[in-house]
Amino acid sequence: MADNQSAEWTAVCEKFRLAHELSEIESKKDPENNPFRSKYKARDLFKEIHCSLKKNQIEEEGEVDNGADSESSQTGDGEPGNDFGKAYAGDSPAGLRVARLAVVQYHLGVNHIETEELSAGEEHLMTCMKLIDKCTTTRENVSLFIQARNQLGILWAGRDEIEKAQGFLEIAETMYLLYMKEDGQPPLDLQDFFVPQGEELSQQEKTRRFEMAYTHTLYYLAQVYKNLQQYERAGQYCHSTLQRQLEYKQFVPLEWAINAATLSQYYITKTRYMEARHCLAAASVIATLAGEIPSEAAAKESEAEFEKREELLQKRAEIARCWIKYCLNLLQDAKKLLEDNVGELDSDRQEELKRARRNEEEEKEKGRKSAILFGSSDTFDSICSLEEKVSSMLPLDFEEARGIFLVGQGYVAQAKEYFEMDGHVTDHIEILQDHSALFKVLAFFEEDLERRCKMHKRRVDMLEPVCKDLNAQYYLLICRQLQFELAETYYEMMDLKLAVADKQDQPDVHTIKKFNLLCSSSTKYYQMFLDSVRSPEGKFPEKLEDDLLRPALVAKFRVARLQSKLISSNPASQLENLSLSLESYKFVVQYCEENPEAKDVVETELELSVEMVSLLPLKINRIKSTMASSN
Amino acid sequence: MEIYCERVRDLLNPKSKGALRVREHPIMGPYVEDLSKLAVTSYQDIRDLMDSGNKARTVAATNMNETSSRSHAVFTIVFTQRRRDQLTGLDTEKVCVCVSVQCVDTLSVLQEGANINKSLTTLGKVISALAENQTSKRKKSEFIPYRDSVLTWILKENLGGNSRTAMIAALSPADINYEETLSTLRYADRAKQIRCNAVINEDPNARLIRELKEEVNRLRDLLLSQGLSRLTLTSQHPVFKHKPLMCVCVCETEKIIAELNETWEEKLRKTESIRMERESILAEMGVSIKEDGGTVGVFSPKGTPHLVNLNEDPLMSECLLYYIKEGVTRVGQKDVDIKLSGQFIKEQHCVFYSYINHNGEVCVTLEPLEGAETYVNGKQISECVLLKQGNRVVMGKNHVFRFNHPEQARVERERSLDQQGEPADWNYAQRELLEEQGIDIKLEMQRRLQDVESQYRREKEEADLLLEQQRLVRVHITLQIEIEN
Repeated sequence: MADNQSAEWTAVCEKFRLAHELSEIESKKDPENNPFRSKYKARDLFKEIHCSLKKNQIEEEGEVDNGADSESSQTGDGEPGNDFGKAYAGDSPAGLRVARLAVVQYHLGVNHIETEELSAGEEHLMTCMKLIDKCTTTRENVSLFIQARNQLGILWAGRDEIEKAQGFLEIAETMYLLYMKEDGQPPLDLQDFFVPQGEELSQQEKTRRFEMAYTHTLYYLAQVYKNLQQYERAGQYCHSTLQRQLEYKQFVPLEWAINAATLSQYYITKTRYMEARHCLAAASVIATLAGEIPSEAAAKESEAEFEKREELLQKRAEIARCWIKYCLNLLQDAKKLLEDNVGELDSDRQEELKRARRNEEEEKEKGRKSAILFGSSDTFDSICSLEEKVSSMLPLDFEEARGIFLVGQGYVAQAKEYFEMDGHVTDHIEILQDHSALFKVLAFFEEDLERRCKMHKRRVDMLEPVCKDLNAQYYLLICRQLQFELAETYYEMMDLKLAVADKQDQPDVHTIKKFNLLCSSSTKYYQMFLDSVRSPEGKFPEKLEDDLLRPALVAKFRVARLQSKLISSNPASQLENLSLSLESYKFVVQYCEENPEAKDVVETELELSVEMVSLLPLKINRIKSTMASSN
Repeated sequence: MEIYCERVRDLLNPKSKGALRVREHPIMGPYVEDLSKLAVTSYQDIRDLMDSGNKARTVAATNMNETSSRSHAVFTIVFTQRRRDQLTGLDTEKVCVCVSVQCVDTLSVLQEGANINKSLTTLGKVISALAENQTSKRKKSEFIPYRDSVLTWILKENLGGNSRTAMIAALSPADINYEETLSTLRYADRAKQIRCNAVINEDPNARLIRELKEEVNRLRDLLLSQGLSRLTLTSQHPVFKHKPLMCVCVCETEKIIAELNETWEEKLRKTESIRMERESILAEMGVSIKEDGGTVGVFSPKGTPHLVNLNEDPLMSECLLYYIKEGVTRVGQKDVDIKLSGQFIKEQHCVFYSYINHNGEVCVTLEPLEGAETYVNGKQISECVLLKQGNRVVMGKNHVFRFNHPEQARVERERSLDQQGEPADWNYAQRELLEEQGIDIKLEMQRRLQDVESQYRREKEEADLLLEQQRLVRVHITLQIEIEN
């Protein structure tokens, strides 16, 4: 171009370079009380550039450009690649002039948005878009085309106008795909418009920036779909974003690892374990790229080292926690498939599933290929070898379940190292709860009742001390969870002991004592849970909160059952236990009478409670009469 | 304090530099480490503190807002009310915590929820929302490694539990801010619905319900049959003379009652009495029963004379007890009460007799059977010998015991408190045995070393094996003895 060499043009280029530097680099150093100082300076420079460009334009083609702004205003959202009605070819000198103006408008738009003047920013961006739309899309302006729409997409999403945002972003996406199909050469970057000849970016850098812009498009689309509740699609776009970050090396290892680990949790909820495992393995491998953990000594020396150590330890522990959830959910989903209507292992079902799985083996291989893989050649092997350490198939018997359990338990130990009780109470307890849940689901696969009971004992052993030590004033909700879980675990153990005893010919006194002990421990924790609902004055609320309604009534119902289950040879204490039981059943019935909305929540329990309230007196009277007759 | 870019700063302590850490303590609860706590006595004090805190806050000037606060500020008032109860004279304390949170302009930071994050660094946040969204219906089973913002963390307590929360949203009346005002209102609307509740995951009730239904049916049947039996009683009345029906009814009732009684209570009652007896006997036999029914271990019976084993390994000594009950106790390899094994033990080796003499004391005598080597205190015996407390009894070559007579022992202890002789252990018994046989220990040892040792080893192994086995089945043995008696 003729004017490229002129002094005036060199000045424009210099201004642009300065504005860019102010906006991207200087602005980070702005003082807290004047955070946009550099941005404002940059804005002034962009405005100046805009003026010079306009002046040039009028000088060169004064006769052509009348009313250009309104001319194509309606085509803004038109199909990309539709060349009808375009005034200029993108690669013509006129097209380049327009693109140059558009670039300045783009920067002004972004600048206003960044300084919290959204409406003004929007205007600039719209102008920018209209300018480009006057041209055919070519290697020169495709990047600007995409980036302007990215910005408009975010802007409108910020205003909760998600569909509008979606429109802009989807056009950007289509344009990228179209361009890559028809041209595919590294396109001009926005910066390339304002550099003296010979200082253009390298082809490689052009590609990198262009791909980065598209990665952002995908990322914004992921959020748009999320907000439109198209979660499946949002998940795909998040996955693509992560893949592209890795592919174009645009990632911070720790951050990427955490994101991949989080994505695994999404897949878990979708029961897509193969993908979940792949994400987790990739997360673990990429996290190691974040460097060595500074030693404790080094952390004491400098604040920076301390923070780095903290961060690395924390993130690794968090990835471990994602692994725990993977193992836990895999086991729990298998349990759901295998259990019968009272929660016991259904062996027919087990056989059936095992047969079905043999047929699926081949299918699995195919699925593996189509699964979306992460990793460049250097990390791929380590990711695969990590994957092999744990199955992604639902376990169908104890051996398989045990394998997964052990992996999960390993990660529990790892996560607990960072999330210690002191300082991370909530996190620590959540890990313990997961550990307990791992034991619980493993117990489901265990056929030997005694061993099953021992697994539940392990749960009690890990939760009971914590429950005792925790201050309910601050951790009320956690305390309640723990109390409830302990009550249920003791209940489970009691059931198991009873099942064991039933198999014995002669009831063994030891077993009966043990049974009663378990019974009363379970009652104790249900009672503690119920007491936590009381007001500071000790009054039970007349109306339970929604999220406590069912747990509280179920707790009462179970207490009623437990009280009647206590074994005693002494009629007097039998009588007492049964009366207490009757009281508890009555409580449930009465509460539901006073609060009819509770009836639907505890339908079956209520039905049975009503029955027991009418029938238990019969049993009580029988004991009374035996007592009377034996005296 | 203020939260600026996720870092917590103390606003009331000018010396405090750098970020403070937020931590949770199991007893003290969540807290900000080293955050200044100042005592106040009046409302004016509070206002002064708030003012000085506000002055220290990070405030920025922009084209849009000359004093735009860039940070969240949190001011906590802990109000304690102490009351003396006039009646009881007891002091009670009520603590009330008020947290005032001032958030930054919604525009810059609180853009959460439906809005789109610009930087790829927030990808994790998006994915988290995705994963969380999937599970809002089912129980929470995933882990989202996206940390709560410090503000959320502080508010968590205020959003759940027993607190009341008010929210004030400040809006711009300018038309140019129309879209922003709208989204602020939308944000406020969403924030209003935030609740923080830990979900209680219950186990399914299925088994319990099935059990209860069975019980309900049983009780119903009982009720029905009672009604019927009452009917059958009154049916002595001439009008009801359908005897066969009556019979069926009565049988039915009895069956149901029997079934109902087939409960654990019944089973327990049957065994309870046996248990009491058994426990006392077991205790007497040296097995103690723990509170929960488990066995604790061996202890010496208080009345019955008995033998305890002595072993070269002191840890294995006195691990076995053999009771010399009233009457005859046979020792040997076959058809005996105390079964021993080994080359030098005869099928019928020796016999203990326990009887009550004319003074009312329990006496035990030992009679060796023909051809059986039996030593008392190192001397081989050939005829009936009266045993005394502490006597060493050797049967065959390697079965070494000490005879314990608890009553004699008690008498002895009372008589001579200071007489502490050498303990009658394995070494003592062995030395004594050899000395009594008139063998110079050293010479004898050398001479017999080769031939005795191998034999001794073999036999000892057998004996140890037996010891182990007996240890395991001991309770059963004692029970058997009991039953045989």
